[in-house]
Amino acid sequence: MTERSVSIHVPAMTRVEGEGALRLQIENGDIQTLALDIFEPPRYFEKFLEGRRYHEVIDIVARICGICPIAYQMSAAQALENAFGLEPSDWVKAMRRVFYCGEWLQSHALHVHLLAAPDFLGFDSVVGMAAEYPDAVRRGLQLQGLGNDLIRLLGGRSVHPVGACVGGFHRAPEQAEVDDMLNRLNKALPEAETLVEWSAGLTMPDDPQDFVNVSLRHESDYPLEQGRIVSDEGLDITVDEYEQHFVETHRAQSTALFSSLHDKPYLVGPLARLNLNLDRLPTASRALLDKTGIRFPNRNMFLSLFARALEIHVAIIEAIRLLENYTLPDESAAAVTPRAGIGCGATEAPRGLLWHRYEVDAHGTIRAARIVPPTSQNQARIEADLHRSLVAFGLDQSDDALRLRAETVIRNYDPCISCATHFLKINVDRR
Amino acid sequence: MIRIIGLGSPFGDDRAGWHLIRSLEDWVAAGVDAVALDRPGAALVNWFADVDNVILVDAVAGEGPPGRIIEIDDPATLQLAGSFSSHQLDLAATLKLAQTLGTLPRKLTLYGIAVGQPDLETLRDSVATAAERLAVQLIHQTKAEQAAISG
Repeated sequence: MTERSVSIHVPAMTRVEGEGALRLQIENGDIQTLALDIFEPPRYFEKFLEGRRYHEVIDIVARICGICPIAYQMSAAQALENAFGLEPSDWVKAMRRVFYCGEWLQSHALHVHLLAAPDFLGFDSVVGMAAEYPDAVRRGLQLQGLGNDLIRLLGGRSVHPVGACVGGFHRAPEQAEVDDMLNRLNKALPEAETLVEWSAGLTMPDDPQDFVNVSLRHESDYPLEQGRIVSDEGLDITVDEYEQHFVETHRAQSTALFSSLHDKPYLVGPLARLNLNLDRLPTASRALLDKTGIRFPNRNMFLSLFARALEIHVAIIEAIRLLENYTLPDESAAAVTPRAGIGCGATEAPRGLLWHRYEVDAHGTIRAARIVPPTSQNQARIEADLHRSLVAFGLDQSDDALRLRAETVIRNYDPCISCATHFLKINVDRR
Repeated sequence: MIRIIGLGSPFGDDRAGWHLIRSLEDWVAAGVDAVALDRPGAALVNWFADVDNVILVDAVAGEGPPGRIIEIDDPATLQLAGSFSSHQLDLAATLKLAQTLGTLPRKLTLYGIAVGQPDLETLRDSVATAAERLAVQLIHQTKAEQAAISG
């Protein structure tokens, strides 16, 4: 092997959500520096929320992300309802889960087909992939569109939806709208089954890694809009206890926040959810998984794509189950009586655990807010994965190959900084 | 079937395409479908299914004074300034994707409503008026096309 020095420095990632940089220095066959810096602007949103009334929060936090606004809305609603001692009705709980299924469906379909699959099939973009795999791309677009329409059913629109509120929803869909959606979900189910089989057949790098899985866990259902926070190292806590175990720290020369659980990096997201909640899969999804022969829990990070595909199936199954029992409620939202207090909420965004905490005064005005998104929780894990994956890949590979593998590793997490094609520029310093 | 699609977002002048669709609401014709879409990204391709003539209307930054109408009758060849965004494809990439998938409609026209330096708070009168004027033009145009087909 020729000894060489390689420096991959991306001062600012382009075509990504937010700003970030990857610094990678390899000297004489060893990684000297590897740092993924996400220059998230300091959490302005948490400051924006201070002084706002509680009912404004849901629409404000929806603006944090264009792909997973429902996750932000649902974590915030849960936290504020906990602060007010408000228990939403069974109808609201069921429809929130349906609403959230729409987000998983559109976000996962987009990531699997348009962003991640080209990496594993050898294309630089979905446009190139579409020429050879048109059916797969069409399927992805249709599932994404269905997810958007499911969001619209309860949210009024698919981008930054406006239908949710503390206590429930501003409006209940008419039975005819629900029937039409049910019909479309049932028609899409075979597509989701095909997708799972197709994803199982993709050739992935096989490099099992050691990491801590963290996700919500519900007493009976696959985790989505509520549950306790658990890990595969014995953590089992309420959402209120999050801050006693998880810590966010700043790193020098970066505004990024790194989360750790008991001083260790950890994984949130579809693979962690699946690893921790196999016994909570709907029966049909579990049967489909077993048929593929892929065993979980699984430590191959690249199977995140497969986990997303399976969660698309879960989302459709769950939406069908809940909408089949749909009835028009007397009230689509509970009356809210603010009171002073602190409330926490946690839900499973497509990318993983999303935790909120609000301190509210007696008038329902926000005094303090804290939001911990999945991407910052995964950041230390992504770095550890990059280190491990690039060494396993071979540091003597060409610069282009190293860059592509680094991109593939990062995109695999579907980070919200994130996921575009070719966001790494490479500068090679040979001495 | 002719489908008129107004692209946009709730932000000021970017609502131009939506305003056009609203202007068409009182005019319902058989064989014509009008929809307003909120930043659909690649999912726009789904709206090309089962239609042979699609008219896209979107606000265009720059491109002259606010209210100017730009017609592009071969939008699949567009080269736009933006490229792949983080989570979505832009319009040019989306049309390229549709072309690759073979789902482009037989006829596809893009009308841009110039907004100059966009006002992201308010839909300005000059832009709204242009959208209404284009709506009237499209009504006449689609009537004529349908008459030609049936005639």
